[in-house]
Amino acid sequence: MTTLMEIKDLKVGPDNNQINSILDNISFQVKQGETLAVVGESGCGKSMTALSIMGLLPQNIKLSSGSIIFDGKDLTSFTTKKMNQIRGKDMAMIFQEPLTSLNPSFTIGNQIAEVFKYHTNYNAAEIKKRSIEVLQKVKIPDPEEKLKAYPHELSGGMRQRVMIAMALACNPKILIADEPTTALDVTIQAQILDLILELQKDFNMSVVMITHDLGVVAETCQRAIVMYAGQIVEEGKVEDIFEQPLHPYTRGLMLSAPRLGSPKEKLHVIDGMVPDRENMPKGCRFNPRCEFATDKCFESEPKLEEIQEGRRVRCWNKLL
Amino acid sequence: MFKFIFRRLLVTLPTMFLTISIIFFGLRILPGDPAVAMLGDNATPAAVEALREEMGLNEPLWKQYLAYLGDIVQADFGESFISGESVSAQLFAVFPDTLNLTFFGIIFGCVIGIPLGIISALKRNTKIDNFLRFISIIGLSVPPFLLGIYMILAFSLKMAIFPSMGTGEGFLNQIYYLILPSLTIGLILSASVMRYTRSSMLDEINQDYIRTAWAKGIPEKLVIYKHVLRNTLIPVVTVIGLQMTGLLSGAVITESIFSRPGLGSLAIGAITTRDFPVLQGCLVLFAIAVMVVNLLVDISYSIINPRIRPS
Repeated sequence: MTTLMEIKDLKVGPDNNQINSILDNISFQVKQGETLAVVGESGCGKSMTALSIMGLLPQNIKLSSGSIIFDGKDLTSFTTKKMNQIRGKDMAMIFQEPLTSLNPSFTIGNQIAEVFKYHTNYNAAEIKKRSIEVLQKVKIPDPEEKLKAYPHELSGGMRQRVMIAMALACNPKILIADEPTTALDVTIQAQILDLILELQKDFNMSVVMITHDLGVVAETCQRAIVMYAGQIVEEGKVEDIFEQPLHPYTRGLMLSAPRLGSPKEKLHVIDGMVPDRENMPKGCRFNPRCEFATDKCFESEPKLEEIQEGRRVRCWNKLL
Repeated sequence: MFKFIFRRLLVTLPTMFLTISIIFFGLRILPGDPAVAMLGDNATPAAVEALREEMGLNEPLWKQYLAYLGDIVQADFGESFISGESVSAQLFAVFPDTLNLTFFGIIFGCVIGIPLGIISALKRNTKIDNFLRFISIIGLSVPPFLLGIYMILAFSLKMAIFPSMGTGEGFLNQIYYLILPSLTIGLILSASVMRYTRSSMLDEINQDYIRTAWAKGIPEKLVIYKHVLRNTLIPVVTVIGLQMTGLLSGAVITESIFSRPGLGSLAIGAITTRDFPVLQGCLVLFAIAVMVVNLLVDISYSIINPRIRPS
């Protein structure tokens, strides 16, 4: 598989201080047509990673170093204008909150049409035709009628479908899905995930699935990156990670996911909290919560090392 | 939509009735006798009594009240105690002047306030923003009469660009005479419009759907002026509607400073002479104006905000 996007040594932090970065030397690749999971607790930097790729970081947060190579070009050097030619066309994103992600003051049709208007040369009639087509693709009933609807007239699941339709309108090469199902009912979650996978095959696009839900990872992804406190702690094929997690944090995550067949067992809990950026522990960032921590872990920070091809881990006491 | 307007009008009726009643009784509580006010302090008690009889002030209050209600239903506010002219005729003669003044005041308020609010929000926490916010605090604190006097000093006396009083003749000339007084009202309104636009816009910029708009790759201008601005204006329109009552009282003062005919001048004149019928007419018309504006705000609200559009 060829590499579609390569992120190298990405460092992101508040623009006033460089020391306590939100993202610390994030590097990974996204291959053509694959589904890559980015897993971790709230606040570990998953969403920030996604937003930096899209160039949508909040105003007071800046990318301080690193590069994002997409299609051979470094996106970090792009101006807003140049980014706008890629965003929504080659690179699209869907968000966690379908209820608030559509503008309440404009119709669905109006909001979908915008994407075509700025990324294609279609005339008004073609735009309408294509808009109906994308709504059909995401299986929205009565697409022609729905174009005239306002977001508040649709359910959460329907709104997320509209978001997906908007994201896929111009056949992007990569779709970044930031917790696309977290805010939805369980039954709707499955439908939306199936839809994303189905469309991924149709369009042969890469998907970066950001989630804290290991069920979603197992169900939909081929490779996974595990993040903790702004760093990547483990990377590998999904089946490898599930079968033999190498990092104590990944292992903790696996054990704390409920499983069928062992109903009486109490769920494993990772003690403690994600450290805040102001008080990062010395050495390994996971050391206060790690049951395998040794003296070395408190002294120096482990590097992310490649154990075998495509399998990386950041730990002094790998669980081999 | 028509059903919605009709319903709103029905709701206004009881409010209207209450307002009219309060105006009537409120005026009767005022100290001072219209007959004395007309005849002067040296009039003989007999003359005063005769005039009171003539004006119908010796009737029992409830009879006066019923007569007043009956007349209002027929849009008849009686005759002025002083001039004997029909009050309705006087009201209709000066109402357009007040309407023009308020209308242009709002236009100035929006044309100045909204763009400055947008600039202030887009350049937040910069020197420009701080400067604009400082100016707006001055605008909020200056009373209209003071600003009016300074405007006359600056533009009429020093620079001699605009006339300081009167209404002018002919359409363009009238507008020329309107500029200074309506700018006085507009500048004061623009201060609050600016502040609301700024805070509403800052609120909007951080909404999830604005992030979605950016993620679609549409130009920055479109994100700001379509996606952000539309939602920004919803609370601003409400504020302008709420300011209407303030604007009308501002118009009263502005009219007397610029010696313009209008409801305000008429009402102030009527207060000093205890001319109840004229005063009642002015107040009722003010009340109707406020209610009509509220209705218009509700209607424009549903046009900008589809979430509350009556289906």
